[in-house]
Amino acid sequence: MRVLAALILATLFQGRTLYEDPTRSIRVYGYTQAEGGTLENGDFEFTMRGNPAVVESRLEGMSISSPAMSGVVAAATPSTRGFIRTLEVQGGGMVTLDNATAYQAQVDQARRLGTPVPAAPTANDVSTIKSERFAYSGGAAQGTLSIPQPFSVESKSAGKTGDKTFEQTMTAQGSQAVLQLDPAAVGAVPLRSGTITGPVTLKINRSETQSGTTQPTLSELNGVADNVEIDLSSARTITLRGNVKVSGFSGLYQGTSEGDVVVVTLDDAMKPIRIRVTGEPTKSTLRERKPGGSK
Amino acid sequence: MILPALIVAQSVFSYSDAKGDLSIRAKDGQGALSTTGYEFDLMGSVTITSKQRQFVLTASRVKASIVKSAGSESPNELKKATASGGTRIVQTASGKSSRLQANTATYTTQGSGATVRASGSVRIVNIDQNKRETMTATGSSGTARLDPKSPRGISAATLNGPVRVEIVQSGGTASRVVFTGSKMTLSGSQVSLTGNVKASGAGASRFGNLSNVDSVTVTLNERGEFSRFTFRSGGG
Repeated sequence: MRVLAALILATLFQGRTLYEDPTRSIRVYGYTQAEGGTLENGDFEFTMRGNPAVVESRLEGMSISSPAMSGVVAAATPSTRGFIRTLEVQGGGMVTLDNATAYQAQVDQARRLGTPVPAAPTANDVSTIKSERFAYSGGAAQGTLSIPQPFSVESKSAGKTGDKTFEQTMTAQGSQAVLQLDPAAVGAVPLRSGTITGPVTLKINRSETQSGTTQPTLSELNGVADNVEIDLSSARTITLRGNVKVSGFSGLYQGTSEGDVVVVTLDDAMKPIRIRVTGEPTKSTLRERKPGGSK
Repeated sequence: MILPALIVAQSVFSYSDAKGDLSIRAKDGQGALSTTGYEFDLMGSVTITSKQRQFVLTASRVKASIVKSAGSESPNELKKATASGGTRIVQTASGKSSRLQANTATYTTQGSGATVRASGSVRIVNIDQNKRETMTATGSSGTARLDPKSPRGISAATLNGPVRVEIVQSGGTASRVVFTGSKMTLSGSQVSLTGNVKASGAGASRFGNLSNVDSVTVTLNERGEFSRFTFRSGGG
């Protein structure tokens, strides 16, 4: 009976909105207990528990959920939108970044304000980051996600690049990370840069289909390293350092590489297009892939 | 003993004590001498003004008891009044004032101030030195403690609901925050609401919407404006 009552209560509180900012971009909901208030500068401060409690920033396409969290939401001003200023999560939490949600919110805002509607993104990117504990601190155009404990990342991307359609999944695990995000970037992957300390494991699977054909070209990249540096803002590189091993296949070829440093260069659609291995010694193999897709 | 001068209904009723501390006007009125002062039954545009206690009471009908305060030659203090029909009490304090409106109200002097029990469309309004209404609270019934020595005239109040409290936000005359709930308690510079409390920004306010909250406590600044609030919900 007690369990049933708890379930009914949890269902009732699911989606219960605590706070919504004037632009309806920021929403705090799903709480069972909450307390907080406003600060002198108009920011909204809260501590809450839920099943899970959720803070959503639609313009950023970002949602953070956890059974327990505390944070501050910056109030919107005539010149800046509201945003998540700080958030601390304990007891297990998840960050979801979805550029389709962000794009729809940006379209809604443009229509409301009578400003030009931004161009639609060519791909839908959804990333989830899970860890027992993490903290987010942000501004109107950038944010830093600090993860002091083991975490996992899953990323799915699907869309068009040139005359090809593609689907790509990426999974990664690490021990700690500091990730720089630009959640407000229109139509772009919000991860800008970051460092991950390991051991780090990384896996990227991609399927590309040329327009007019039905047979996709499959590729896969697996990597392990002591740590990883990500730079997607300018160089578009993922640099794996220390005891690096990468393996994978692309189309008809498969290979492995080992070295001190492996730099994976990505194209605009986040496709790995070049792998450079350095170290003393390095060891690489490349051979034709057997029919049936074995590695 | 009935006062001959007041027993006959008058076209304009007027009373003032010897020093002019208390003045009473009404379209019609009658009265009787009591052991401590006068008992008045006043009708039509009743206005009772106390310079000493810095309040003005207006209503359509008022039954009032006035008594002599220490050192006064004639009754100069409103001891009790039962007012009905568009009742308004404006209590001034240090240049600021508070206005209480209700269908009916009972005013009872207590110490240097008074207690008012009000019912029917009760409204409490805080007014600053510039005649700006900084807070408007409405409810179906309530009580208020009038005190000319308090910062805003009303030092404490309760309103029963549903209640609605609109407060000007600090730093912006066009910004307001509207709170609703089941009950409001005012104590000094703190306004507390309980029972399914909601808050929403109005006008140019940057505050959005807060909902489904058990209790909210608003802190007013020295100008009587909303400066910040705290909330609590769930967890017993």
